Amino acid sequence: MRLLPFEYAVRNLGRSPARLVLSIAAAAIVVLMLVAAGGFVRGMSLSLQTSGGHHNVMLMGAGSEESVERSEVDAGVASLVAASIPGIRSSGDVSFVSPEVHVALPVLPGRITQEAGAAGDREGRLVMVRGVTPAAMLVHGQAQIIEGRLPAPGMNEVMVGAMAHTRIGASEHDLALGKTLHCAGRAWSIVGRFVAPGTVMEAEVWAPLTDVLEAAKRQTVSTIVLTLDPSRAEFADVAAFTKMRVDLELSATTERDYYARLQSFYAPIRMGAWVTAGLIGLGGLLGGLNALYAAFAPRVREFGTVQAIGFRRGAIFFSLMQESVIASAAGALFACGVGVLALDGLSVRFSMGAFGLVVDAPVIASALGAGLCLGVFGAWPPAWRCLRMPIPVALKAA
Amino acid sequence: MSLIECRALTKVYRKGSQQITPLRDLDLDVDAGDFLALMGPSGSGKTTLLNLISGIDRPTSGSLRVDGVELSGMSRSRLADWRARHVGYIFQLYHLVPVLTAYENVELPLLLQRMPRRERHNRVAAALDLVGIADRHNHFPRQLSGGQEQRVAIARAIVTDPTIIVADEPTGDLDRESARAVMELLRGLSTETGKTLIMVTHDPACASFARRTLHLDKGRLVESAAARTPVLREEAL
Amino acid sequence: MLDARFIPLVFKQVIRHRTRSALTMGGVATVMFLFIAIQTIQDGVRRATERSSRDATLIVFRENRYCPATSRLPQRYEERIAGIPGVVDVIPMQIVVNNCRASLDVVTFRGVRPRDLDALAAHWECVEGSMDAWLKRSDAALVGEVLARRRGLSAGDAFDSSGVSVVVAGIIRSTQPQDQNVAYVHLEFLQRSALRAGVGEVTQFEVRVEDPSRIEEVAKAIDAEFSTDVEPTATRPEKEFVARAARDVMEMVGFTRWLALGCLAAAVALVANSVVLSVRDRVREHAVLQTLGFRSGLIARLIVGESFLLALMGGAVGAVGAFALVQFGNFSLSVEGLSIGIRPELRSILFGWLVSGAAGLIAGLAPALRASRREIAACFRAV
Repeated sequence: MRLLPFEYAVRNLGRSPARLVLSIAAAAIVVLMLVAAGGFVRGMSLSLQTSGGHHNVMLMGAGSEESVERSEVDAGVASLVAASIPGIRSSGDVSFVSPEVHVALPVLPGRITQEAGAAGDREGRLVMVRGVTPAAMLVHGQAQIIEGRLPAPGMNEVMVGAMAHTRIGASEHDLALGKTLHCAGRAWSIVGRFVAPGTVMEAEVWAPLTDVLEAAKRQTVSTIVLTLDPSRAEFADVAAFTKMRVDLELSATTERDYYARLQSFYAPIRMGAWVTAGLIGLGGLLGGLNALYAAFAPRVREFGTVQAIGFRRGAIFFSLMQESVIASAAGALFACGVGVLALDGLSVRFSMGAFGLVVDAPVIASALGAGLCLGVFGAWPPAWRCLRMPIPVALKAA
Repeated sequence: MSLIECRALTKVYRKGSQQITPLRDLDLDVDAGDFLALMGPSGSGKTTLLNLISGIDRPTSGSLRVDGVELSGMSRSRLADWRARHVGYIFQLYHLVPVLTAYENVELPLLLQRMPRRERHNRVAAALDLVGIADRHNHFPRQLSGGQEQRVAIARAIVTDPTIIVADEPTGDLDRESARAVMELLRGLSTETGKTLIMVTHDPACASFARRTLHLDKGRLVESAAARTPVLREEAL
Repeated sequence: MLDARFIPLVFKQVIRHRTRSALTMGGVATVMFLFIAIQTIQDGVRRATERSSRDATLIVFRENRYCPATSRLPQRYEERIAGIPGVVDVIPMQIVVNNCRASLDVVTFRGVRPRDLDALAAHWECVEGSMDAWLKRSDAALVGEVLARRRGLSAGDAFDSSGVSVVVAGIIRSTQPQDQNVAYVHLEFLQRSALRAGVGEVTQFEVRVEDPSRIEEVAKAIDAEFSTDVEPTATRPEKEFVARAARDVMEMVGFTRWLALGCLAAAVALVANSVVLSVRDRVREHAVLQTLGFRSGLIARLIVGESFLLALMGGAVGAVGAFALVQFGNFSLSVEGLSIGIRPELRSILFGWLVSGAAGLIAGLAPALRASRREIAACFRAV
């Protein structure tokens, strides 16, 4: 089958610059929606996937496996576990055992409380405050201190994650070293900043365990996180320990499994994001189809003429698809560019945490693929409608 | 007094950077009941003259009176109202509304008048009957032949009982047989109902149906030949 | 306004340009579906969190706790709360929830005493089973309608969550949004089943006050009463309590307002695009209408009428779709054990539909104005 020259498609696109711009814009909007939704879903998934450390096991109160905030474990269990379970990784004398309290508390940056007059005048946003010991830095290898140091107990000091400002609703400057946070009725000084890329920890505030227990008026910790040495122990050993010591009322789960369950818990939200993007995309697609119908319909006589010259319908069909693909590909590329520049890394506050949108290769590839499909399949119905007429009828068309 | 009086009628318009003057200082009189054919080469100004007389365009200068009413200074809305009552227009390409049936196309001008539905129906039926297309009243334009479409267009033009009927190349898009039928119809309108008809045509055979033929060239009348003998009609079409 | 005799003409133009109209209406239906769904969610949040002057219920919670699992108050506080002036009724309640975080599928158990059931049931209607059946079994549950539909539960079914196993004694329908999405069980049963909570401890107290205008005063008095105790309290009106807990959700919902505006803009753009294309294709047709005597203003109104009708018809489809989704979807947002029910309000559905019509009107204005200003002869020359 002899095809029409590629320039035919390109020149036809240029016949109406306004229409071309509108087509590109429509494709760009649809693809941008998909990039945003994809970035949101991917960011949420990745932050939960990578939050779980390799070989980390979480010991929580029996029955609270779904939610660490609900869990309560006696504080003394940590030392018992360190002594009883063989195969826990250690560095010198220090075991990789981290007793932690995970509690959501309202936090206000110091600047705002000064403006309000008193800490009690305004309530802050709920932020996950994690009470930790120095062992936490061993167990959670993804967390790295980038500024300052670990907070010391009894000094009302805290360390903030790099994305905590999003969660708190303040600027990065408000959470710089030396600044203050107000939480649980007292002022805390920021002495350190840490990163934990792609994990939920990056949106948290860490403070000494004893200080958090006191501030939250608790006697129990939420969980004990330990890191196993894979050459000496595995998860089944820890699970066996919890079954043996029923008096401790513990349950064990790998940290990865815990966050994987949390991921599935948020599945409806992710589905909601896709559905929203899909609906807006569908609206845009229908509008684009309308535009294509209007673009092709006045050219019916032209199609009849080209067929009369000797080109097959398939050749014209292919040329129309080229036009459509060029416009939608241009729009898709533009949208992906905007996505990478403006959306990638954009932090989103969500349900006791925060995460950054991730516009990476899979998201870009999917978005470009969608743009391509838009161009290919979007042209089919209008092109078919215009080409199905017999040549004599087409030649007489208005 | 003539039904249509043109004095020093001039039309100028711009096309891009060019200024085009299709009519220059034209004087013309048309009597009531006349059937006038306007002929001339392309660009001679015949369609422009037709558009001015029918009120769908306004002259740049000069005077144009139809049935005693001066059109040259009228506003757009007043011209619209005047056209609705006094003009029936027949186009070369029929220009029927594609999503309306033949009946609905003919009914369209009557919607502009405050008329009971029954009366509207009667007038539409009568017009369709007159042009011989009553049996196709519920067909869409795409279901009609060219000749049938033009008949519907003629019915639309006469349904309001206008003062003048203008036709721009009414047979330009028709085969010989349909063209003849349409011209017979137009002639009948002129002789039997006494309607004033002004027709633009390239075709001398069609012009021979008219009572009078005028030639235009470069915006001016070049001769006033009165072709009153309908000798050529039978052989030409 | 358009004279009635021209309305059939507008309908015919819309209905007989099948493909174009179907595509435009489909696009409008899609975006208006989203717009109305968002409105419905916002309505649900508003209903659950906006206080009215008639609200007379306080929630007494543990200070500095935000998840029901971590709030533990001694049950003996009941007597002291009942003794505070202005308090009519005190209902101790144990709450067990399978997850504190915001989600669409959360199971919340509320443990109450049998003698407190009458006070709670004032807002209820038992649509299946009976409250007597609940009284007869210690592991019985009265399940809110929305939760029951979501989990496919009927009277007599057994189900478990968060380590608590119950049997459904009845399905209840309540005017209170919180009740629709929870399961009411016996307090002692829940205290024994729930983790680490013993008999003698509850999550919260639900307090009814005599005079709603004094509700803040009573709340302060309750907190003052326990401020020096080992387990101090934080007391708030119920809707404010929900609003605080649901702040995250409300922020997300606040963001959806922008999305809703975006949907509206998309609807206007879709219809405007369609009208512009339509007008461009009908330059000659409009010129013919003017030739027949249709004034330019009338032609403009015809175009706006078509635009309005397209948007209204598309909006109607979107509205019906949104209504069906929300009505039969039984959605409910839960956070920290509190529930924000999402159910359709006719007022919002109608509002969304009318807004789509308004979008159509706006979309048609510019193309109509342009079309009406064209000179007839220029139109014939152009084509």
